Amino acid sequence: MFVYEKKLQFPVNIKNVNPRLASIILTQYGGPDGELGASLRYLSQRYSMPYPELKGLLTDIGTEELGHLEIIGALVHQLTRCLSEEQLHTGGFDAYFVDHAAGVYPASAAGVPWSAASMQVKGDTIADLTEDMAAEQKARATYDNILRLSDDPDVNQVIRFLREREIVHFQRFGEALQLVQDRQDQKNIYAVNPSFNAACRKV
Amino acid sequence: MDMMNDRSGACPRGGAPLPACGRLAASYVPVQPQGCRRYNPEDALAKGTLFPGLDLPWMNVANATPAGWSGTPLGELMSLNFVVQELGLYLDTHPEDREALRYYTEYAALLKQGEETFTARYGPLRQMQVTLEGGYNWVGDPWPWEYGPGCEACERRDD
Repeated sequence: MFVYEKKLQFPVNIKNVNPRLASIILTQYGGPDGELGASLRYLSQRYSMPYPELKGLLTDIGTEELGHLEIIGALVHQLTRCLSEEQLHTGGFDAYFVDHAAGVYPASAAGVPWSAASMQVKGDTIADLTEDMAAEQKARATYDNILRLSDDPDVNQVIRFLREREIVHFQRFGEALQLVQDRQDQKNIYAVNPSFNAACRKV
Repeated sequence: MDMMNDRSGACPRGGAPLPACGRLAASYVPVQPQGCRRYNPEDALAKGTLFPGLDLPWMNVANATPAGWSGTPLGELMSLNFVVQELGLYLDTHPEDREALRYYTEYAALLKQGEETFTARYGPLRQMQVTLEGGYNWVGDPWPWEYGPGCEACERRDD
């Protein structure tokens, strides 16, 4: 089960509203490489993982990503607080505003609603962990791009933190993949899918 | 040199050993060696990682927490929590590392202690921490997305 903890993982305290920036950062809330997809990907891939370390890692990183989703939500919220009439007309935000006002809706920067089609649960240990490593790199690259577009230091400190977390997660998924490969048939690590073929054999 | 046994300081920049004769058609990420140097909790939160060897910031400019954040009650709690969380991920792939486990339990105890002081003053972090004396302050502002003016725990205390 999950229990809510009433604090952020990293502080978010934005002084200047900036609806244009909010509409860009929103992509890490509900875009194709965002935190919602990350969390659901890992938490959903857990069930077919064959080894205890992998179940633990996917649970813990999937949970951390939910915390990141909340950080992004806080950023978008604070960047769109108390907007003036004039700010509503900001390019990039007006199209969002007409459907959601200052609510936080999981969509990409281009307005495409979040979709499970942006992630996969393959039920194959090597394929899933390799996807997870790619997912961390894609999120890291998105944060790089946000940093290229943003000149607000309050926002950038938070984005830089989240970007670093992607690098740490990439390392851990890489170690997990290593651990899987060490437990496979050493002549042919692709001989079987341990999350399927081996699951019912241990009597 | 056997880098796995190098406990002298930081993980060597550039990494840890890969298999001398690796399998073809397999991905390799070097496994983080045991005994790597660690940041203190405050720096770890600022950098976004506990481990200097993994600290790879954008454009090589060091990451930081907001000015005036360190030493605030919420800042201290976040730092402790971050160390526990980061070590937890490390232990998931290094369950045999006794030193890391010892460090984990130490920091988990410090976090528990820190939480008790924090919640007594600023209200519950989890719903179950409400008390008869405190009243039902679970719903009290500020919620985590509302840090800023009015967040007492975000400000340094004078005493």
